Amino acid sequence: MATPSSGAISLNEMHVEAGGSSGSECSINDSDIRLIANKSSGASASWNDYYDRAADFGITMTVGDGTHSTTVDYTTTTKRFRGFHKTSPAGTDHSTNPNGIGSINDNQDADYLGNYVIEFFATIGTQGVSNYSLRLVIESNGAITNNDTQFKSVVVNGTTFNRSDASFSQNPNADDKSSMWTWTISGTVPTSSSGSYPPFGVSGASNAITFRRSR
Amino acid sequence: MSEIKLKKSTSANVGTSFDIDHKDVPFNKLTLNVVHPITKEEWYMEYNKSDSKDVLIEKEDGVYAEEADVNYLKELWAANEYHNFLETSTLVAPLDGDLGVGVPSNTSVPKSTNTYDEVYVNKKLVRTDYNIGLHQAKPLIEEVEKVFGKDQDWKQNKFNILGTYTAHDDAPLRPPYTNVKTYSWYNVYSKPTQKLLDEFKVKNVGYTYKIWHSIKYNTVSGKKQLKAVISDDEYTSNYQKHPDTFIPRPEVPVYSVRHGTFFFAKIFNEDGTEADEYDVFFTTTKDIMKEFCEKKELTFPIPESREDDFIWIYGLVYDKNTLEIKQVKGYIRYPTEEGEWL
Repeated sequence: MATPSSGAISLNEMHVEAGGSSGSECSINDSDIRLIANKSSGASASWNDYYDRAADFGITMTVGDGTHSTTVDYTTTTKRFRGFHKTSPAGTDHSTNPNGIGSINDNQDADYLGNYVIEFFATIGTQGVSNYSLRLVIESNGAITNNDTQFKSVVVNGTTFNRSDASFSQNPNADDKSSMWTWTISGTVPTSSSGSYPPFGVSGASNAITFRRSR
Repeated sequence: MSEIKLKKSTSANVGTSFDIDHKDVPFNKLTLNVVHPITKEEWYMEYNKSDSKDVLIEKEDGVYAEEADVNYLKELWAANEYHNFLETSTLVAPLDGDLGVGVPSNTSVPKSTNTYDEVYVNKKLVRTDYNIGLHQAKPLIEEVEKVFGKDQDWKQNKFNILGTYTAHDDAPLRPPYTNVKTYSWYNVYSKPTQKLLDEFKVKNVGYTYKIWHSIKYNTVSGKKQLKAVISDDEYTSNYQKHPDTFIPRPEVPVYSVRHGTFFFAKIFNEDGTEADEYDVFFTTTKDIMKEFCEKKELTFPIPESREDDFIWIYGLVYDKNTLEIKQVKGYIRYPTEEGEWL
């Protein structure tokens, strides 16, 4: 539960959001409390800086890998996916296979992504081609506002991706509603599940993912 | 070039929206509301900080954008989505023997061989291409064999195609074909062999050929032609670096930029000479294609009654010297009554 967005706010509310026990001793300069407002030690801060703040949302992903080949005019393209995909909605360009790829230990947090479920978080690109995408898709139930209350940045396997560097799209009036962030990454898409496909590790690896609202 | 002033809006066709970056620096995002070309779903899009900066023009009295830039972004999205629909609706994994030598084993193939393609020019049906296994292909094979004998193993791939032409006063034959007794045999999932290229004295200039090609049988003249299909890459598109392999091309509409889906075809005679007309092929939406045709005073190739059918590619036939567009072709794929598809 994020800190209040206005009105009275207590040090205890900040401490609890930062992961401390309610009523336990703390100070405004404690590292865990500073972190939720992205403050360095001894930095000046106002109470407003602690409005609408949330602790990080951490996930562990077991990385999956999959391909999907398509041909229209006898021209074949093979897309490779690396990361997590819950299922495979028909007709989307991030379709992989009906059972999806990879797994994550948590797919939902009340303070992140509108409290919607993460459906897809993976790289997507055409094998052998330079430049590919990192895509995050959530199952939304209407329009969401693309701002820092969803997340400000996400760290994937040690690499930070800022929300403001992603394009955003959503179809709030469709039967199958979703919201999607897409980053463009420079690099060549591998031709095997063991090839390098940053930011995710190879298939089967365990990767840490952290969504952040303060930085 | 005309600039349009943008409102702060997430509901306008084009607008801007306020955001802050990871360093809490404020910036304006370009926002678009578009309609999906197939599902007709409404999509809302925001461009990232960098892309928005490329398009938005910040002035003292507000934020502007070039109308052409905005139109390009909208059309590119629609063309890519249309292509995505085509890709994801018709294909399955190959079975043993479906693919030729050198074709990647994870290549997908059509769901069904029970299909035929209709090719339209000036809203008239000018050619029908049948899957080689359909009963409609059998009499066409017989016509070719009367003049050329068993020139090929026609059915060496079950997805091969054989087609023939219909000429109309207002939709003449594609030049350089001279009569409707010309038959096009497409050998698919196989690159043209060196032996075949040598047979038509095609010079090895370093082109990357697609995994299909065609042999055109003129049963009146008794002559054959090879249609070689060439990928567009650095060698064909960068005149400064590769003047010898550069393929000149006319202006084309906004098309899907999926890898390998924009390509050319050249027709070679048996003496190695090439026809003056080249083809350029691409996939886009009917709306984009219609607008292009109107702008260029060309006729959109598909009749109104067929506009919502499965138009999977467009082709422009153009003069390689003048770049004059001589024909606009649209290809529609249909299931036969015998088979299920889509």
